[in-house]
Amino acid sequence: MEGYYLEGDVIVINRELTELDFLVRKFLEILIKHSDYLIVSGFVSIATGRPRGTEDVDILVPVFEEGKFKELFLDLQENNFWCYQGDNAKDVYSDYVKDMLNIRFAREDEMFPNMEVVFINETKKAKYYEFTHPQKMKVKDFEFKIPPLEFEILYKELVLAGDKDIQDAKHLRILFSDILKKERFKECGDVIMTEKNGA
Amino acid sequence: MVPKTNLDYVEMYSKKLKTDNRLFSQQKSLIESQIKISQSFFLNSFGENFKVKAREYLRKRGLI
Repeated sequence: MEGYYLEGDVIVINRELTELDFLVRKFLEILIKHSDYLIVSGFVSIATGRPRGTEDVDILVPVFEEGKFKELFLDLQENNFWCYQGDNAKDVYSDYVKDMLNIRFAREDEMFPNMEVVFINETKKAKYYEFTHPQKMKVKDFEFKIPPLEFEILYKELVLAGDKDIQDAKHLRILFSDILKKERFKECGDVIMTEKNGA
Repeated sequence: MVPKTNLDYVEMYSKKLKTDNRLFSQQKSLIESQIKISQSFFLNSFGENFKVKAREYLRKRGLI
């Protein structure tokens, strides 16, 4: 059977759920009560079949005001997640979130994989672009949002550019060669290069 | 195609995956074994006071 197929605008990955999916799904079930999100980077490659492990799952989230952040933080703690940066929402907010520094959550008594929350706002042009142009992906009954594939590929090739990233990009280019769009590459490339060149 | 480089292997695997989703079962085994090993390693290493010891470890790695 094929590795993936389309259901309308949703890319369906034709596989069973893994323990990594269960972790991400659990985290998202809590997160979406408080915020919108976009899963980026390694998890996109792994969810689509790259045979490699990961220490973290990167999630873009619009930056919070303190009260809303506290509600999310407590909800995550009540659902057995712990935050690397601290146990007190007020401190984590003032030391990290306020300055848009990333924070990480893992399941109780676990270190990896962790969920790395990357805060964004409109000043982060490339991240804001991918956040506002989500692609839906589904594995069994688990649906989640990722960047446009063309953006994910180019970001790995042009910005991250490590061996692992180049391999991830190649995997995505080949697996999804039937649905990638040239005009979308152009649009995403412009956004990424504008930010990369500091314009 | 005879794969020679890492990228050649990626290409071969990804092409195969387009039409043969049985490769996902191997990937699932790999991912889950890594998660299990990690869980076991850190729980055994840190035991009680997990978070305190974990944060010490993370500081040493420059992650917090």
